[in-house]
Amino acid sequence: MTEKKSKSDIASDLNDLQKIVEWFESREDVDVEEGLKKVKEGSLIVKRLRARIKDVENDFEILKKDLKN
Amino acid sequence: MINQEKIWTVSGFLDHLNDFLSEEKAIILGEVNGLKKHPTGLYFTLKDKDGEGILQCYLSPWKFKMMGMDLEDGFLIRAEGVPAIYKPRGSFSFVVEKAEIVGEGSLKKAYDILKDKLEKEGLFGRKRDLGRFISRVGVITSKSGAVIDDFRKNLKKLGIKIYLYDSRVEGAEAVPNIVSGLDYFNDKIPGKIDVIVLIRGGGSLEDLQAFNNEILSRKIFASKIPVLCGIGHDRDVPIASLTCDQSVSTPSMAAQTINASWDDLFFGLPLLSRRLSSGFEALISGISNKVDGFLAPLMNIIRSEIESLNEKTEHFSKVLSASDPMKNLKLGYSVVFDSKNRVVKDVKFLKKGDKIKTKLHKGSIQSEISGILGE
Repeated sequence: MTEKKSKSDIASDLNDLQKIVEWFESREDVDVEEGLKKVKEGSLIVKRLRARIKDVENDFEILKKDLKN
Repeated sequence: MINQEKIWTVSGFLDHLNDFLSEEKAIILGEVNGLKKHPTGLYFTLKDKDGEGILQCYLSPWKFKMMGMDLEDGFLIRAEGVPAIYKPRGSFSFVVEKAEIVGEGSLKKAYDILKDKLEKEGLFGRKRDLGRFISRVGVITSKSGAVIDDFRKNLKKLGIKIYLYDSRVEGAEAVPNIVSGLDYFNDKIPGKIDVIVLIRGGGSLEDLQAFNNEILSRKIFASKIPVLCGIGHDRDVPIASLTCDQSVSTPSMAAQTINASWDDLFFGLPLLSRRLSSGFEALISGISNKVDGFLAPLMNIIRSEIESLNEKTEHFSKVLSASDPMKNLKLGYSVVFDSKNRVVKDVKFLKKGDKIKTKLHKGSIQSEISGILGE
């Protein structure tokens, strides 16, 4: 079963991915080793986030009266 | 028939009457007149639009507050209460337990008064962001009816946890129910809710009275969790919708608002993914250019070596060409081979009768030695 990511995890993943993309876009010197490390890390984040927006049924619960009071 | 032996005190008789009257609960529809607001309560009369009768009424400050709307002379109200005699004065009055404004005209006026009051207090000015990736939603509405189904149907399948607090959304119970729901999601539910969603289908000003209520508006304003309202309405935006953090006019639009909180992921992820690929491609292309830079001097060295080798080969070729024995054969010389195909350079290696082969410029001959002549 796919583990659901919390909203803060998603925001943090998106933020990390943004930083990686900016790292690539701001590079003038090519650091191959670092670049490979970054692209691998970025790809894993993309994979995780793609899994999060796949169809997952919503969970609906009617609160019981005794719980409400 | 009068009981001759029973003599009442004034107080005792009034108590007796009040006991009797307390059983006579009633709902009365009438127009408010002679309204006096006092710290001890509201005093007014109710009268029919066309009729002579008037009824003295009393509404306690607490019950008035629970109404959540102001009263003015001329308002048509539905008052629920009990008749009683006020002992210190001996006056008859109707003690109002619950009051609701009825009739579009009265409701519109009450709506305008409340809207003006809350607007001046700044209750409509604070709008909090609902946040991104809404995952836990507390819904307050009736569990029966199309509203909750519309909301669920329009919500994207994102594994969102939806808690429904079943509440009346019309009538006297609506305000206390909704207020309890807000309290529950703010303070009692285990785990934090991202957004509280208050939804109801459309209706007239009278149907939506619960959502034009001061108590409810103040509760929404006090909520620690952002509130999203999706209340259908005609002309006048419900005061709850004006007070909440974000409002839309239907329950399905409330669901779409929650869906939109995921846009950064739905639209941002493909974009970031493409930018990551482009960045990596640029890196690879940079490496390739760099390799080209390293190879160029090496290639020059190799090219120069090859050229030098070519020159040497040509020189050797010339030398070899100059010493080619075929060239001498052309001049008329010939070469003699013995029977073992060795070049004969001295007659001492030959004797009479040996067979020899002589190679000329063109062709060869085979011969037998008839005599050795010497050097």
